[in-house]
Amino acid sequence: MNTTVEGQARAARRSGGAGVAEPTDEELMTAYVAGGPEAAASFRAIFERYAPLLSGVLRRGGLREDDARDVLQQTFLHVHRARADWDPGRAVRPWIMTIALNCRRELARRQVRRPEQELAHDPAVADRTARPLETSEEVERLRSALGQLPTAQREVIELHWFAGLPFAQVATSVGASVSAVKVRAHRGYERLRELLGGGGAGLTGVIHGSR
Amino acid sequence: MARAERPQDDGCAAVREAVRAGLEARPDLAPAALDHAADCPPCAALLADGGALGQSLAREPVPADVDPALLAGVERALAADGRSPLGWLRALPTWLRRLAVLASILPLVVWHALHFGWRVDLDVYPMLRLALTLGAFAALALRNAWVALRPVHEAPEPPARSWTFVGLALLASLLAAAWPAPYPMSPTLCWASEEDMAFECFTWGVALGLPLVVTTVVLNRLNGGASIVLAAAAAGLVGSLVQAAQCPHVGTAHLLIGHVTIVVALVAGGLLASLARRAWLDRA
Repeated sequence: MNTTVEGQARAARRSGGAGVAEPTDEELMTAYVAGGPEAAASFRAIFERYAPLLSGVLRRGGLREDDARDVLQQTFLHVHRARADWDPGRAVRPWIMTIALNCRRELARRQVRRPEQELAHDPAVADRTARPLETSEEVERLRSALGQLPTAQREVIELHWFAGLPFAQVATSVGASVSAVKVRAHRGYERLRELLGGGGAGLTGVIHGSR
Repeated sequence: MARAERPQDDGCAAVREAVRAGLEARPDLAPAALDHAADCPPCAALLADGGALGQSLAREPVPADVDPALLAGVERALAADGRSPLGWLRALPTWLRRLAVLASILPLVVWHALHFGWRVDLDVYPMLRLALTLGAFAALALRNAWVALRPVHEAPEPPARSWTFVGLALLASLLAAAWPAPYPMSPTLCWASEEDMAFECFTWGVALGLPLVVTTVVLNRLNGGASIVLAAAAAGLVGSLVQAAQCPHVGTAHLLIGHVTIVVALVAGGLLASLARRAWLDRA
């Protein structure tokens, strides 16, 4: 279910642009859950589709590289353990995103108790954690702004913008009502605009200017 | 192969597409995006200032394909998980794990019921009070045990709600004990002092509930948050429920020392177990 541009681009890249229809996420998951000779290949395909997306979500959420890898591994371990619970009528993307968010929350609960200063004395770790994923100043500003959002708002933006989920699925993933996640998203986007120095014309201006 | 239903798009996809492409670059997308944004405040924020925020968000690079070593690590972890009995148990469907938790308490509860029978004061004890007590204990125990095994693909229960239900378990047990006795204690029932009998009730109650906690810990996939404590509260209520159905002592002192302490001790044990698990994970 590659609903995002990047997802479709990756799918097209994998198919070599030859117009070969890629199996949907749900078809891959069904094959994986069914077991048999195709299961391992289906799991690898699911991993290849989702690991980059999840990696981005986890790192933007402020996780260090080693923690992000740990949570990513945990996420796929839980995908594997929960496979018997997967209902073929459900979309895979929100299902996996919810597992990833739960694994990240579990890590966050543990990190509250972990003294961060222990790591600062380790030059190797400090070097690895300080290394930016992308050096562009604008991207750094964006990540810094995302990092300043409350977790509840950032999660909703991750799911709505970066994972491309409809609000109904975002609501299911975070355990809130659709109207509540829309409010969180609106506040989060507005706060991002402030932090990134936006403002001015507003939507009214865009609408009148475009028509 | 079954075809999965595609989720209903709520119109936001058009906005994301338009913003990523640039409103000026894709004038064909702009009308649908703007129509949708008129009723969707989050999308309106994305489109404001000519889609400036959306453009910024779109610059976030798509993560490159992940390190192949990571996939190898995941596959090794899955293989190890498949070989361990714990991994196999935790991979059972959630309905079966929940059933197993309920089944874990049955042997002792059934044996206890057959061995000790119902309370001997049934003909004088107010039925409504007994039904309310048993009903409240059973409902709270079921609810807490159910939530303790919440699957990892569902959003977690807000911690405040979980702790509220742990508190309700304690409160229900306390209320049942502190409510005025329906009749004076019959001397014929006092074959031992209330305190002596209280210890017996406490021991049995904890023993009856303990399998529920152990099974929940074994079958729980993430064990996060308050799940162990919720399971412990459910276990305490099961122990209290069985004692309320069997023990004819109505004295407040006996109920406080022998029945309420079942919930208190198991909840305290659950808290300690939860803290110990976190400390162990921190070290690991």
